[in-house]
Amino acid sequence: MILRNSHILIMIVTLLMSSKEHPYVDPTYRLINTTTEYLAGDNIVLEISATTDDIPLLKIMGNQGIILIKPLKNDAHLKYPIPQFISSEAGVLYWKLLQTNLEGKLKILPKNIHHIESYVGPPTLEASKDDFTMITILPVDEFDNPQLDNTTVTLKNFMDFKKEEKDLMINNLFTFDILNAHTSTGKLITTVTSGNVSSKEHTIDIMAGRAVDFTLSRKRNHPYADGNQTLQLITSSITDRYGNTVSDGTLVTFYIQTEHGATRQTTATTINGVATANLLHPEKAESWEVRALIPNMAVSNYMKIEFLPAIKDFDIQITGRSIRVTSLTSFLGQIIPDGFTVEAIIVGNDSDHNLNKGTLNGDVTFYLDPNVFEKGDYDIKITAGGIVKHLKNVAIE
Amino acid sequence: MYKMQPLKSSKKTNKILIVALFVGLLFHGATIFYTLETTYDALIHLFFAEHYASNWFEPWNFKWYTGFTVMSYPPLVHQSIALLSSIGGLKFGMFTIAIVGVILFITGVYRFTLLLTSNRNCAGYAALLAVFSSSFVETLHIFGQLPSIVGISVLMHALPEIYLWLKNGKIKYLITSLSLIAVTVTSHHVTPIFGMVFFIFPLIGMVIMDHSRDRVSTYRQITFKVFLVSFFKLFKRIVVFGACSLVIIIGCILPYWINTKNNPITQVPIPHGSRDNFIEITSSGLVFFLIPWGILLLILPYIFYRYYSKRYLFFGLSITLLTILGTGGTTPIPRTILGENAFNILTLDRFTLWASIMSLPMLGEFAYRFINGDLKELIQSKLGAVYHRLSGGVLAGLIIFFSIFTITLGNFRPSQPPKIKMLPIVNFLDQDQHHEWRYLTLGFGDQMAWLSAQTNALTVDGNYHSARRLPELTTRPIERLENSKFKGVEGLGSLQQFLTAPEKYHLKYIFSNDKFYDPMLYFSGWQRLQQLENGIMVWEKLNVAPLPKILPFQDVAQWQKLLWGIMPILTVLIAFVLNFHLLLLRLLKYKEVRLPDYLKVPFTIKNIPWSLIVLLHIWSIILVIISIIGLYLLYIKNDAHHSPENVSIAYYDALDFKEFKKAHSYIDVKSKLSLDQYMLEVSVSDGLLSSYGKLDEIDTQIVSSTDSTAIVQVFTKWITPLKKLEKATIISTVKRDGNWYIQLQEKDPDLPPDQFISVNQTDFYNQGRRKATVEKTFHEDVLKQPELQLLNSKLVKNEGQYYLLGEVQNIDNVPADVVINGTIYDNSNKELASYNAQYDLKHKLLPKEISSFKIKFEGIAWQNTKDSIPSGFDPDHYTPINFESEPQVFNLQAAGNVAITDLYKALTINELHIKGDKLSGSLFNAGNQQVTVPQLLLSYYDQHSNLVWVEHHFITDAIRPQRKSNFEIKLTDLKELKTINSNMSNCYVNGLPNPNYHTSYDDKVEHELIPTSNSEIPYIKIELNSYIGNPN
Repeated sequence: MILRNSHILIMIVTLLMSSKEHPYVDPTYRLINTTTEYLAGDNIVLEISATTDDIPLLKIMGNQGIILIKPLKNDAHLKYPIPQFISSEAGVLYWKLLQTNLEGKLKILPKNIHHIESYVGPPTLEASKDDFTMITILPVDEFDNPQLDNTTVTLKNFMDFKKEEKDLMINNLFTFDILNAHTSTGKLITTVTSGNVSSKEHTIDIMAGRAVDFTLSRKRNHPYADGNQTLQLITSSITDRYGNTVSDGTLVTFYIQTEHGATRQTTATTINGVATANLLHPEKAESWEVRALIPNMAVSNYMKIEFLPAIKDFDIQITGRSIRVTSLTSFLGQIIPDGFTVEAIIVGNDSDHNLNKGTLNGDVTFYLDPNVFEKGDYDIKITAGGIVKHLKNVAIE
Repeated sequence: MYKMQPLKSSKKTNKILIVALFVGLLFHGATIFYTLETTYDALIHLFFAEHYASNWFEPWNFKWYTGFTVMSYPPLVHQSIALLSSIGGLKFGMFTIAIVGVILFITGVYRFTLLLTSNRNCAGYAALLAVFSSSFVETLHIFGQLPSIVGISVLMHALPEIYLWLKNGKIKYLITSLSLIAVTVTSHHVTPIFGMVFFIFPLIGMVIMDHSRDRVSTYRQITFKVFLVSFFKLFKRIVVFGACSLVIIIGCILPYWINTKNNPITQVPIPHGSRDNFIEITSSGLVFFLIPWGILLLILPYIFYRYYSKRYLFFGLSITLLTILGTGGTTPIPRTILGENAFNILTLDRFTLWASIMSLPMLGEFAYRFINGDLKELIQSKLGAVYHRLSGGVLAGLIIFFSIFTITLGNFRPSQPPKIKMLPIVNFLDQDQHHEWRYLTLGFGDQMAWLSAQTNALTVDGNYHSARRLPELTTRPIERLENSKFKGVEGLGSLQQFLTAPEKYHLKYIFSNDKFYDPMLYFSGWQRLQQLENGIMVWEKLNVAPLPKILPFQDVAQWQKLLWGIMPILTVLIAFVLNFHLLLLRLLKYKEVRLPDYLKVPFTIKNIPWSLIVLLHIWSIILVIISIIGLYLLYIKNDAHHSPENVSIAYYDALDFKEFKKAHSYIDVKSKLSLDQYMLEVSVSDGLLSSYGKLDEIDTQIVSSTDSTAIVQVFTKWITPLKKLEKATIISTVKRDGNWYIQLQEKDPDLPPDQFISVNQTDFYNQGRRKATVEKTFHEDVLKQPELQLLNSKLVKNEGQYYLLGEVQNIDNVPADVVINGTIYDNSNKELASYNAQYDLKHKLLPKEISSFKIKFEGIAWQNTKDSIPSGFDPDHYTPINFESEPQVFNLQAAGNVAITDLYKALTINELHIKGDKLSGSLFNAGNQQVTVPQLLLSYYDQHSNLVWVEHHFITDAIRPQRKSNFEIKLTDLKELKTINSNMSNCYVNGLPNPNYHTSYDDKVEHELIPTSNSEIPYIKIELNSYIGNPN
């Protein structure tokens, strides 16, 4: 029920008026009405017979506060119509005829259930035996009045293709029930009915719980360390302890420790419980130890992956200030795919330069800029695909 | 002695004035429709006008700066626009007032000139030339300063009335002059105050001169004694006028003065071009010196010559002072005269404007004498008629050139982004209760005022910097947040605070017209919502509460509101009624008007001495020589191939402005790099530097050189939205045919493994409201906030600064947007600071994903903002904060909301090596999106695997799908790190106590860390976060 401004105004005015002291007069007034119980929304008129010409105001105290009502004078009877916004409100209404000691109370009862208000929260649960949600039910009449205690409503659930029903009694104007999670994921659909009145449908999503340990597998096109092939790391279908597949999008992190002490790391999200991560092959032969985990929850086994060398040898040609590294071929003798890293460490008397370059058509040329490399002897160390070649005291003009 | 043309009867209409008005209205009336809306100020005045149109008597405006009072600017022009807007809309009002301003200005110059020269021909010429006056054109068409124009114009109308009052003491003139001063002050407060000093004081001097002249027979006979006697005779009138105008100036806009007193401007001054050294910063010199003076520069000797004649002596002093003050920071004199404080608050361009306006009467006189008078005769007799015609042609040509150049300046060097269609934004704000949050615009220029005028939604930003109230704004020298990138690190620093803790301001939506800010928004936890049909990207922040229904405001007394609402328009009405009769008389000439006193001054002036003509010529030649030298220096500086340094700088400049064709022309011609190939290579490069960097400073140093080659080390400083980058790049340059070129480094030849890849991923969608209804979202449509767990957290101190750090995990089954707010307290639980995690947090977490976080307490986060005002802001350097007590206790509030975007996780650490304190490796992008800005979140752990430190690193190059990118990071030295408190009893998630999800299971807790060989930092963890600039 919305309080209109005019109502508030009436209340304030009447409160102000009622605070005035009136001399006590006591003419004879008598209540004519015989019923004291009404249904919400009934047209209630308090009829009072009076023997004087004084017209006292009727004070009404209900849920909405206090108001004063002016009577309609009809013959000898004073008729006090209770406004609709008060008479549609269930509860007890106290009345008092001002300047007299005539007073009494009316009881307004709610009408039949018109609709059922219901709330469920939280709307998602974890598949387990101890997680739960709560439904709160408030059947109300057409004026939003809650029902009397011991009114019965029926709670109906549907889960795992099974229907369940349960009667609930209204207590202190509402009722509630605890809905326990199931150990399987899915939707728990619930509703409340009473007679032919129903609440709306509530859906509670039961989602997978904490993941348990899983295993790893891999997929690759060849075992060679050419730095230009992707390797797939695939988890088994990750489930919780009841065998429910974890939610799509669950993040799995993969850690790789190489035998040379370097680290690789990647992440992948699950689809139907399976997370697939992509990694690039290394550029030199090495063995990897891979483990995946969902942090703080689940881990996989360790998996070992071995990579074979892709290149076997290369040539170095030095002409003037150019160092050409050539004949970089891969496992079938094909030119190594472009971008294979070749490292040149050039150490002079008092300088130390580290140059990195990618191959182009199986070739790399390092040019020693005269502005950087002065004339003199240099030690040159070339590394490619784990193969190191050392040239000492190379004179650069 | 030269006697000018005898005064014609004022019964005759001044035809030149009519022509001036006709031409002026045609010229300005036609062009304002193309220029006014792109000026700096016009739309701000339009916004104020909109305020009055909807709330005439209520001075509080909620729309800008979390509320400000419009009593901070005189209201006349705004209220006039508001009144007119009821006829044809706000823009109609604005254009009408602009046209009225043009009329007032032309007639004002006419009357001012008439007053000074007592010659209607001179006045007519002055009025005609005023139409094309470059300072007026600039003020109207570039700056859009309508109140200033109306103010100065009405002041010029007031000057003759003041003269008449002082000269003959008729009360009538006192009243008319005061009525006009009242109009001036209600339209622009600064004009009458400085006008008093620079226009009215010299005028009083002139009146005393004229009074003295009446008592002797020639000006020569006016001695100081004579002058003093006249001064004492007129003293009473001067005092009466002075006192009355003071009352008018204060009384008419009393609420303004009260507001200024109550809210003194305590902000850090905003840099203004008019305070620059015009020789160093030539663009400021152009806009604030060269253009306003324009053609007047040429005849400057004549102007000074005339103003230093005895009658105008005081005008001479005034214009000298104005000229000097107008030179800004070029010389130290203005700073000395005004004092440090006033110098930093005032915009000095107005002095040049007034100087140029004061020069107009003499320009008119010069023109008249040049066209019809003794100057013509002198030149024709000494230099010949052809020379006279030729020089006349040159002068006329220059006048036209300067006006056209000025009026089209906005076209050549746009000061504003292209016009934005506001309707989609206005509609967006009106829809779905979006106006219940504040918004912010980025890259809108002054058009943000036009948006504010059209919508009821509120913004944290604003466009009237004197009214800024938030310390986040007033402690930084930036005028608007929305153009903060132009204010460098200071601007971005200020913007960051709004983006990091938007909850504080109920800021939920950002309209971005500039992709520069995108990475900053992303890494601060904002997400893209949609692109509107006008191309504006809408960004949204989750977990921001709507504005409360009742917003705080500063109320003022009723009488102030009434005075403010009634007085300005009343002054116009009074001035109109008082001056209406005279106006009508002047217009229609139905009755012979008595000649005003100033026209009775015998107008005989000395013949122009030949030496002045010579001086004018020498002066012109000097100006021409200066221009030529300037142009030559400009040429040398801009000739890219002149030296190795030049070509390096030019190459970077070209890259910065994305002029790739130009950049290609600096590349060694022998490298055989075709333009096609170069453009292709450029088009695939992306990343923080190449897509979001703005070159801030560039410096070069030749490392070594031969005759034909040189190695140049180029030091560049870049402003990027995320950090200030400093790079030292070695560039090889080579000389070919006398020109220097750049030799490009070879491109990485890396080939991606696969030509075609497929990617499976989970996408998410959130319905929002399932029913299209204006009701509040239904209970069952509200998604549960994802559950998070704060795994650990602690308060640490490092190098004098306090940080909150820890780890948070999304333990729910849906992706979460994470906001972490930390508050620190001292031992007595007094709150010291509160701030959010910004860059050191992955704001979007997939189910079960962990992110480390760190909250750094920046200046403004501290409760006592006065302590935090930095002398020079540097985003990477904190303000040392003096506080009474040390932070001891902390409170963490984490909030999760369902996220559906920005969940790209395909970045891979391809190879990671740790040697000592050097972390190096490469990243591989295994997915199908180009990662524009990769971010590394680096966590440090001690030997017991306890988190001790978190930091972030942005990688400057983008990583395309299936490609690698190398990085190298130096590990931070944590010797000074001290843990203060690691008690997690005050940690909350979604308003509830931190859940203990993990400890409720007995399983072994697994946590994978990367071991290092560094004993100081035994373990680290790296998390990756990817900003995707163009998702596809």
